[in-house]
Amino acid sequence: MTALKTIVKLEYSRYRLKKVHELLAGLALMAVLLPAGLFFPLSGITPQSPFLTAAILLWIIAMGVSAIHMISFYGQRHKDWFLTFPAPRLTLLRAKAHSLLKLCLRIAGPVFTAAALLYGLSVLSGRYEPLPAFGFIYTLIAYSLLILTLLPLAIMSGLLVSVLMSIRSQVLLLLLAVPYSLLWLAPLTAAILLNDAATAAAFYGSEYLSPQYMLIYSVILLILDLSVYYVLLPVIAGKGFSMLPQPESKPAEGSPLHSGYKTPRGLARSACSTGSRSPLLSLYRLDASRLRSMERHRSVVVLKLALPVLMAVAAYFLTGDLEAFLTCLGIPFTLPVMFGFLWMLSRSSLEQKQLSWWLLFPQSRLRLLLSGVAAVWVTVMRILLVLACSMLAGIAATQVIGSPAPYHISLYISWLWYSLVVYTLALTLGLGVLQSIYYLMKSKALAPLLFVVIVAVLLILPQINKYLFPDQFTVAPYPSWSIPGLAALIGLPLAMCCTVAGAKYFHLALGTNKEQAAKKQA
Amino acid sequence: MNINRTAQDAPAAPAAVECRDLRFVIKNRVILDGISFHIPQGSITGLLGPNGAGKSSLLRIISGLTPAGSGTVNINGRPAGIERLGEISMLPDRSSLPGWLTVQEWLGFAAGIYPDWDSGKAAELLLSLSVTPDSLISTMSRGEEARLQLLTCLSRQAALIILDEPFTGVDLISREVIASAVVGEMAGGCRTFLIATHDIREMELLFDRLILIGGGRIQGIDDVDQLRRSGYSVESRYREVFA
Amino acid sequence: MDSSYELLPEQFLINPSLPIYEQFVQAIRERIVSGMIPPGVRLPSVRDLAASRGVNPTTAARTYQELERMGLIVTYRGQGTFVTREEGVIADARKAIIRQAVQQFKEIAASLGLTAEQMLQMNKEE
Repeated sequence: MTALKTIVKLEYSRYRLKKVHELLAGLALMAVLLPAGLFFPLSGITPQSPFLTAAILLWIIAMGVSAIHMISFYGQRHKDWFLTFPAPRLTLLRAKAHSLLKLCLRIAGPVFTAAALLYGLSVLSGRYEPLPAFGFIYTLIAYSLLILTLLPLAIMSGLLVSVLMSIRSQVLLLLLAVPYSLLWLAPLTAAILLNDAATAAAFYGSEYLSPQYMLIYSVILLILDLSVYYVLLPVIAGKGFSMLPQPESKPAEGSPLHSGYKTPRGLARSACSTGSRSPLLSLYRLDASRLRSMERHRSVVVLKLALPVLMAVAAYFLTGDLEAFLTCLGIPFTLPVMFGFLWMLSRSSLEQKQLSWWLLFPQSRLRLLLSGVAAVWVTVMRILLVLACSMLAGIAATQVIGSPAPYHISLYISWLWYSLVVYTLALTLGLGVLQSIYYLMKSKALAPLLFVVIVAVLLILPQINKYLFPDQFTVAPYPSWSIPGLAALIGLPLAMCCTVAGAKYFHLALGTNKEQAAKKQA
Repeated sequence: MNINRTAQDAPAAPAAVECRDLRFVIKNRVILDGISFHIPQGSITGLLGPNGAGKSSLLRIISGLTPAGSGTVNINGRPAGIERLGEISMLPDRSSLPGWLTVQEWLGFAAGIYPDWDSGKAAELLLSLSVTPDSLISTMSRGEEARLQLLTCLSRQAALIILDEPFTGVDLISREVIASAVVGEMAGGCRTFLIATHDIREMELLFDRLILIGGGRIQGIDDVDQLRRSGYSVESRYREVFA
Repeated sequence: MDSSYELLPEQFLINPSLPIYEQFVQAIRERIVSGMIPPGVRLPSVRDLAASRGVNPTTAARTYQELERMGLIVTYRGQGTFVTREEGVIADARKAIIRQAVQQFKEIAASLGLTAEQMLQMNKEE
């Protein structure tokens, strides 16, 4: 066996699952995708749309998984051992690419099957006419080829993140970060945009999405794959790995698993810089220090630089077309709020090592929980505010440069303000409700509810875009405050109750995670 | 046997490690400066110094993982770099083997990854270092994992072995087992050990040379026998330099 | 038959501030002379000695070199290292130890302003 093959096997071995678990995971994935596909319009327009949606989804997954793999590699404890393998760096990188491709193909299986099932269900429910047998097989083959050729490109684009992170010059970083962000923001934006029925119909109806074109795209993609594999990978191997051993990228830097090293510094800072002895404030600072340390991570810096620019530019071009403006408005706000929810959810497993320390603090559990929530809330709010401000700048720019707008500029600003308020509300409610998961860990009987709460909270966001931002205006194109007002009235007390209930059982986060860890190891 | 022959065939062998006027700067902070020394083949050299002295940076440069700012490093007479990784068996500081594997699986992978892997030696060391082959690496105790890491290093035939803090968090008995395994490997006389450690008491009888490094500079290079002749122990010498 | 004799006492305290091979040589010589390691016994290899005591292999090798120079041990190629069977050599070593001890004794006496005989005399009177 060659060294490459062995290292591929080694890299791939971390994704092992028992046959049963693998099957269950596949079924669970399909169980989530199918209803989602039926629920959202983006996959029910034409017979091809489920497959194209699957391709978009897989692009996001593949690029996300490989970028996260590359970023988290810097913080892995086995990093140094891997780096001392006596093999060229290119071999190490290729091993990563190959094993990630194997992983993504494994994910692609259930996703593609779900798309095929969705097609079947749509035909049965009469959404569209079934394709003739030959046409169906043709479509299947064309789209499998598309996905097969798309995945390597997505994975290598994900791995490319390490090159960005090795760039020292801020200007160069900014120049490269914008197109790079587009690489993964584009499919994400497409997915959110296509959630809108009219846009989706226009998009999926396009003749450029017929199977014939897919075959042509596959050939182009294949050529791209090969050239990227032979040209770009050596560059990534040279630049991306070379920065690794520098002390500034030592494990502690922002990697969630290792920021244990950072925490004491955060503590020291909060203890020294303020004379105040308020425990809640200290706890908050401690929790926030972990998120701050993440912000110093280069990949986050990249985003920080790129996103406001993108937002301002987008706002500039969208001002003038109110409907397009409203369709896009939710996108930048959804992502940070989603991040906040996911962070909150993964917090207890990411901070497993520190959690026992947290629980040993002589403070009430409610305080512990609230400080954690506050840290996430403030972080997400900062992002939302920055995004809103850069969009505001974009809108203002239209006035300065003077492009004609059919509505008064104040209308755009009031919608911007409206969405900021709505997403703040969603964030607050969601974070509060999520705290109830600790309460739900109390007994096995409540466990299914846990899943429901999580899914419900995560599904709030797409709904906001659908219901609070109308497609057409009947009376006046101004935002309506009644729905968010009602939501706040009912939701805020509920969120409070959830937090209080969760606080009582916060300690359960310790136990369940051990079980999960044991399961993962098994 | 094989190893013995190579040592005898090359009597005038180049130094295992040779550093000349090494300098390493990160973001205007001088990590290493004016580092020059050489390590003869077949010695056990202790790299000693307080925390933050630059020991780990130095070892990373020697192993080729980090390029030096200026100055030269030669491994067995040839410039250090990624291409030399095959000649160096390194135990990195505060690092773990892939935790999702069992010992047995890891050794299987290692046999494919390291061209100089010696399976017989690995089997022998499994016994002498008392590592259980079927335990999952992430569930092992720190001492046991440290022994497994050492096993990985020693099961290769690379002549230069670099251990960066092999004892952090390791219990007394494991430390003794590790120290005696190092000695057992040495006796052939053609392996060279470079060991950075804070556990001076455990290791001082092992070293025949010392490199004392502090504040990014060499504070002393000593022959341990010479030291003892003038009434110093490794520990008292360390105190004299750094206290 | 060789494993039943310990080359060095189990609890042998090494003074890290003095050359270690000298301490080993002295201790082993005493054990050979006193008969604790009988003539003709095979000694552990350099590697085993070093590994069991956790010392540098050069130290162990030098210990053997020194003992061999004294004639107390003999190496047969391919068979190993053995304690000498020559009674004369062991007797010489015995004399050397005695001379050394007496010399030390005399030095202590001199430092107290006495002769060796006076010291012994005073010890009897008490």
